[in-house]
Amino acid sequence: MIKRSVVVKNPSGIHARPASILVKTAGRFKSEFFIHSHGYRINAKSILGVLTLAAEQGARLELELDGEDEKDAMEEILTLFEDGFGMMDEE
Amino acid sequence: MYSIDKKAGQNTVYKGVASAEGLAAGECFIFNPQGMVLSQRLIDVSQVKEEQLKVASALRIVELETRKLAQLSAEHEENNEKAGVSAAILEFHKEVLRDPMLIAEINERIRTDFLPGDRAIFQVFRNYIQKLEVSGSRMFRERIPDIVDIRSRLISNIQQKEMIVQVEEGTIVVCKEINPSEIILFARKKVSGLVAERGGLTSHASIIAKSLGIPFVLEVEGITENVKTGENIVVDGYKGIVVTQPTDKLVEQVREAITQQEKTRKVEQKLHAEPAMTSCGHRVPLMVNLELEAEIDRVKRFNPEGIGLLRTEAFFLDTGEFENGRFEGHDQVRFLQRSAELAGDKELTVRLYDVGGDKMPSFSSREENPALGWRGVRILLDKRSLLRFQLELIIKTLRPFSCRAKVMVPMVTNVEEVIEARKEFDEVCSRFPGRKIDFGVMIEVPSAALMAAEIAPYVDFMSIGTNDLTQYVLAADRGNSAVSGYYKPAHPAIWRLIHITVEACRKHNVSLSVCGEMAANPGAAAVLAGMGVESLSMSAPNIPQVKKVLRLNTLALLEKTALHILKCGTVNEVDQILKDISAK
Repeated sequence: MIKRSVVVKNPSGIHARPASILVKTAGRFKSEFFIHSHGYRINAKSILGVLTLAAEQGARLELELDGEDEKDAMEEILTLFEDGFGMMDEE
Repeated sequence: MYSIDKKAGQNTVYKGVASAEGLAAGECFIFNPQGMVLSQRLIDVSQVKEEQLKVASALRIVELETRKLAQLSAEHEENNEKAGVSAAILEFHKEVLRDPMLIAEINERIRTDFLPGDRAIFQVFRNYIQKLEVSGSRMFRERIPDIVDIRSRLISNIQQKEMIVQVEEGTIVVCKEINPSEIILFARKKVSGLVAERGGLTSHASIIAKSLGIPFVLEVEGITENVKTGENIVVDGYKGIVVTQPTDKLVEQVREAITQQEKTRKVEQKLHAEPAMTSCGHRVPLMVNLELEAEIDRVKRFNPEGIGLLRTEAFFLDTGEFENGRFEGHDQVRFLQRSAELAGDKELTVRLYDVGGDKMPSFSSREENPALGWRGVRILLDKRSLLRFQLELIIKTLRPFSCRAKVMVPMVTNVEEVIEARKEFDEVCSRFPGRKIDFGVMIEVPSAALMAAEIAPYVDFMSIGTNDLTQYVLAADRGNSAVSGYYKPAHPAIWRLIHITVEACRKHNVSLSVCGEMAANPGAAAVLAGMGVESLSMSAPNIPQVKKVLRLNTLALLEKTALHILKCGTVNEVDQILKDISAK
C-alpha cells in the first residue's frame, strides 16, 4: 500500500469531467484506490464518491493505492493531478 | 395548410421552441413524472435476487441507451462545437451507471432492508444528491440534474409498464419536462406529439423525438396549468406553437394537413418497397447497419435487403470478465435472433467484437495512440477464448435461421491474421456441421486493401469500412475538428484503394460490399456500384435517397463515372462528379 498527498490544481476543482477521467484511469488498474479528505475515506473508483468530495482548487487530498500495480497507478494518477486534468485554462 | 381564426376563449396560441418537426391534433395527456409512486411494500427474502436482477438490467439498458444517445448526438452535432461538451456529459452518465459503490449500495439495501429495486435506487441516489446539494461550488451542483435524470431513467425503466400504460395511441403528451428514455417509451405507445415546459436534457430529447418522427415543441410556459388530460390541442413542430381549446374547424384543417403529409410519405414508402437497382435493372442490394435491438423495429419500414453490418460491441461490455472464463451472452443471442428474423432469407453479416484496448481495463494500460493500437482482430487473436466464445455463440445461434449468415473479422492488416482467424472459424464450424456460414474480413486499413488479392483466397467475402479506411489513408482523425478538413472520404486515394479491392475480389470470385458513411452518400453510393461493389450497407434512413439516385442512372453511365473518378487528382473534382450524379 502506498500513499501520496496531492493538491487540486485546476481552477474548477474535481467536477464531473475531471472525476470521469480520474475514475476511468483508476479503473484501468487492478489496485484499490481510496481518497482521504477531511477525515473521510471514499472509494475513488466510484464517480459519485469522488464528486461528493467536492474537492475545489487548492484542496489537499491523500491518495491511497493498494495492489500489484499500485506504483504505475500512482504515477499516472499523480500526473493527472499535476496536469490539472488537462483543464488548467478553465475559468 | 391551416389558419388560426381568432375566437373568444378558443384557439389560444402558446409560443414555444420548435424541437422536432411535424403536426399533431388530438387529445392530450398530462404527464407528471414527479408524481411517480415508488413501491411501498417490502419484498420477501425469496425476491431479493429477482429485485437485484431488475436493477442490473435497468442499469444495463440505460447504459445502452446512453451509448445510443452519444452516437445520435454525434451524428447530429458533427459540425457543432457543443458536440464535445455533450459527449463529456454522456461519458459522465456512463461512469455513474457503472459506479461500483453505487451498485453495491443499491444491492445492499435490497438485501438487508428488503427494499424493492425502485426504492433502493431512489434512496441510494438521494444520499448522493443531498451531499452534492450542500457542496459550495456551482460546478458540483450543476451535475445534480444529470444525476436526478439518471435516477429517474433507472426507476422508470423498472416501472415503465405501470407508468406509461395509461396513454392511448394518438395522444399528445404534455409535461413539465421529459427525458429521452421517456420519449422512447411513449413512442412505443404511438403518441402523436410532445409538448414540454422546460428543456431538461434538451438536445438529447429533441434528437430522439426527431429520429422517432414525433412532433415536439418545448419551452411552452405554463402549458401544463392550462390544459387538462382529455382536452384537444394542436401541436405544430415546424413553427413551435401549441393551440389550446382549438375550434373544430382548426382541428379538421390540421388533420387534413396531416393526411396530406402522410400521402406524400406513402409515395416515398412505395419507393421503399421497390428493389434497389439502376434504371437498366442492375440490382444493388441496399442493406442496413445495426447496433442495438431497439433499432430493429425502426428500420423495418425502409425495407433493407439484408443486414450488411451487425455491430456486436454493445454486447462486449456485457460479457464482462471473460478472463476468468465467465461468459454471458444472453443479450447477444437475443439480438442475433431478432436480427436473423429481420434478415429473413437475406444476408446477415455479423462483425466480431471491434473494440480497442480502452474497453478492457483489466488488460491494458493507456495507449498513446489507440487508433494505431491494440484493437479489432489483434485483441481477438490475443484473447483466443474470447474469439472462440463469440464464434461459437454466433454459429450456434444462427444455425436454425434461413438467413445467409456471414461472420466478419475487423481491422485485419495482413494475410497471416486472416489465415489465423480462418483457422479458428473453421474449427468452430467443424463442431457444428450442416450449416454453411461465410467468412470474411473488413477492409479498413490501407495494407488490407493493397493486399486484397493475397487475402482473397482465404475469405468468402470482403466489406470495405470507409470510415476507418479514410482515417488511416489520410492520417486524419474524424473526431478531431482541427483536421476535419483533411478527413475526406471522397479523396481520390480512397477510390483507388477501393478499385484495387474490387479487382482482387473479381479475380477471386469473392463478393464485396461497402459499409460506412460513403455508402450512405447517394452520389458516392451510385459510383461504388459503377466501380463493381455488389452491395451497400448504411444506416436505414439513408436507404431511400440512395435508392432514388441508383434508380435514375444506368449501370453503363455509373461505370463510366467510376473510371472518370479514378483519373481525378483532387477532392474537388471528385466532389463535383458526385454532386452531378446525385443532383439528377
